[in-house]
Amino acid sequence: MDTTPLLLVQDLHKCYCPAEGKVVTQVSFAVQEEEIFALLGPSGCGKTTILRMIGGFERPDQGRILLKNRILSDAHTWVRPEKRGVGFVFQEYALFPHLDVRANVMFGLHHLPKSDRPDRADEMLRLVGLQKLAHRKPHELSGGQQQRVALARAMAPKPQLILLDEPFSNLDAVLRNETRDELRLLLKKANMSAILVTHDQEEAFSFADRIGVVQEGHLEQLGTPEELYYEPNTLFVAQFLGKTNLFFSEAAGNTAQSPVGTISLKRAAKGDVLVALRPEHLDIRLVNENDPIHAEIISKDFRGHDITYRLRQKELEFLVHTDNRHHFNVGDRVSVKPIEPGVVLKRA
Amino acid sequence: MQNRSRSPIWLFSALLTAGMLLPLLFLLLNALRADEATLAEVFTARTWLLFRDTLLLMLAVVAFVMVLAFPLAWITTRTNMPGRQILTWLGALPLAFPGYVMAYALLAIGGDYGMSAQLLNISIPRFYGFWGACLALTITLYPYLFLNLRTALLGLDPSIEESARSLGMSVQQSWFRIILPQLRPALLSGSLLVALHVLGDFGVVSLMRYRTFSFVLYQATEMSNPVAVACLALIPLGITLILLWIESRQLKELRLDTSSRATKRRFRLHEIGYFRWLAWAVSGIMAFITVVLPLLCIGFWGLQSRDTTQWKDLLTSLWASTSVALPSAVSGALFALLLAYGAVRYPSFQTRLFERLAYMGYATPPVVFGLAFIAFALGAVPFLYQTMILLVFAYVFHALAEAIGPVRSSLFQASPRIQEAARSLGVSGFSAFRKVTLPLLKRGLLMSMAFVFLSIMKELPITLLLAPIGFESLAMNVWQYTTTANFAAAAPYALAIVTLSSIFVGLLLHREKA
Repeated sequence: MDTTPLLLVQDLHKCYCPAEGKVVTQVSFAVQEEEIFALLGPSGCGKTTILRMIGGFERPDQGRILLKNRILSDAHTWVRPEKRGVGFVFQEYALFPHLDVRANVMFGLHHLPKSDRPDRADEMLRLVGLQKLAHRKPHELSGGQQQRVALARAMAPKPQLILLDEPFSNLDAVLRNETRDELRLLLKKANMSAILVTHDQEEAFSFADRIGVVQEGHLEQLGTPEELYYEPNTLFVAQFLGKTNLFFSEAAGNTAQSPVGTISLKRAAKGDVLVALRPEHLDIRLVNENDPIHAEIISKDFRGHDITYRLRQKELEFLVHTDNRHHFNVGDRVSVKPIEPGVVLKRA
Repeated sequence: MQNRSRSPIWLFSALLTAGMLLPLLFLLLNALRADEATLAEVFTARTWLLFRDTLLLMLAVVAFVMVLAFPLAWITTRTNMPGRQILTWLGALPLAFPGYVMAYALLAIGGDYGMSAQLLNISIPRFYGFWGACLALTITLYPYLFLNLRTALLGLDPSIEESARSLGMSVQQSWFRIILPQLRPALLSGSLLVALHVLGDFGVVSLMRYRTFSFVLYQATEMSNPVAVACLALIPLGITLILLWIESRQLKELRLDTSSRATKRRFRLHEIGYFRWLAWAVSGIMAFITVVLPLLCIGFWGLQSRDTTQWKDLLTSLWASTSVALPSAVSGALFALLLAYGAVRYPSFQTRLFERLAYMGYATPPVVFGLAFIAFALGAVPFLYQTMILLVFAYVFHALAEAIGPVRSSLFQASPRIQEAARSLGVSGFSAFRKVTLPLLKRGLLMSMAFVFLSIMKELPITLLLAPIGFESLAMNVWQYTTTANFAAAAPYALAIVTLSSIFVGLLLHREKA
């Protein structure tokens, strides 16, 4: 089996004018064939810059980018964007406003004989369900339709990799979820690889096979959505990917003594540590005289299928997430018990 | 990648600004050669009077323009006055009459042989001197402030005013404490624009025989020594720089950001009520003076000249004007594209500075600008003196600022992402520009060309100073015949200019709408 990854990014550096303060440092990752990868991070963290370097719109100061073992960029080589065979879907879609939908999709098909181009364009439009709108101009389309045209246009020349720069951010909430699922299905059907850039944790989780979390220009952690959620390495990753409780604890091997009782640990540790535990990994019940740990419910956030309680125990506040079968009221005294192992976070 | 495409643009922009500044530098060098005798010749009590008279005219025109433009802008944007649209058109139409045509009309009405004497047997005194110049300039320049204020009023966010009302302010209070402060940038930049035009005006003051720097400098070119002329030219140049400095300083402090455009709602229009009769009367009189009267005058004198050879010579003159205006328009739009491209796509201190400097050619009084080009030609490239090439260059640099606006806004619409999208689809850099960016700039470029073309067709002082011997533009003919009170002979040329300028105003309004 061929083990070389489709895309290899090694030790990428990029420094803008110091005034802007935007930097990318030491970014390395690989994307496999048919894999959907996401770069996830807060806005301004440099993830779009990484994507633009892969696309060829920014030149790295240092590092290498290889696509199927072909060097796209290193200290001596620079392949221009039009020679890379990498598709790009822009945040604002960047459809050519003076061309109709079909002409937009045909734009990148110059390698095909002229007579074959309309067929290929129509095939792509059928794929994204827009064959009826082939003669519309971009401004006559809705946001979701424009997004699909942008995708069809990028996919039409059959690039080896598609780069998606926050493609869902201009859509409203309902449309966003729908298009996201559709797009993932399309990419998987076409056996294509893609890199998605997003600041939305939920979007990255449901769209990507693997995620790289970016913060202040460097890769904080790489992994599948599950790995990142259940085993964050750092405080940043733990907090960025959903709500989390942090407990200062005393670790001794595979367990730690925390204010909410003994927590078993996924990674053995010793001494004073910071343990992260997801709110759904705590169980609460109405207080029983024998229970050692008591806390008071200070607020309740009911969201239909689940409930989040905020609890206070002495000076400490934390969250507990339960399904809607467990009802408590504000002011109830409850006992708390960790039911899943926690993660020891690396000290920054 | 970014740096690679940036350098040629940078270089072009730098060259362009050098081309703009070099003539002014030569003028400065000439002035620096002045000895004590020359200085004594220049800085006399008469120069002080000249300074006072120039400032007086600037202040008077700005004041009159404000009195006219403010209510008109308010009425056409914020009241339910019937016929607002027509009033807007009428308010912009004086732009179609270059100052010297307006002066021509005012001069040709009065006097013993004037239109009113011949038609109505009423001999009214001829407008002349300070009041004549003041009237002609006020009429031709007020649209600048009017359009500026209109745009500002239309751009105000109703929710700001509404929140003032919800905080307990009356209509009057919110007008003085909320609306007026928000209009200050438009008021200031509009007034400065008017002041710059008065300072630079040559046509009106020369025909009205009112001595300002522009008029005196032009007269001086024929007799005095070039060093003395250069010294004198530095004074209006200095005033220009001070005005530009005030503008950039004040506007920086006054930057008022409104909330995003998407959420903007329309204003509820005020009831104008019986006040409309007064509004109609005043604007009726205005329309008569600014539009009907000049047209009537040109028509009347034009009929008188129908048997002369003027109409035949008109074609020769039209061709002469066009033959320089066309190449100027094309190169002006091209230069504007380069400057705007640099400033929009690679914003940096330098590219902004270059773009800003392009306004120097527009703001510098045209007579001074022409003198600078003469100094430059005689000092550096004597073989270009009195050639079409020099004339075209002077035109282009003079009109460059007008060309930048439309190109700039169309560049903002053509997002750089679009060109990148083309490249990610396998189209190379220049070809991507040609295939996707250029089609989006076409409208802006054509608009720029039209602006430069028409502004050059009307241009007077630079043409008078730099034209090769034997070259006679439309504007030169109007001016020359009017100075000798040959109103009939001037009429066909004035008519041609007004026709061309009307197209210009049409374009301008079209742009405001878009």
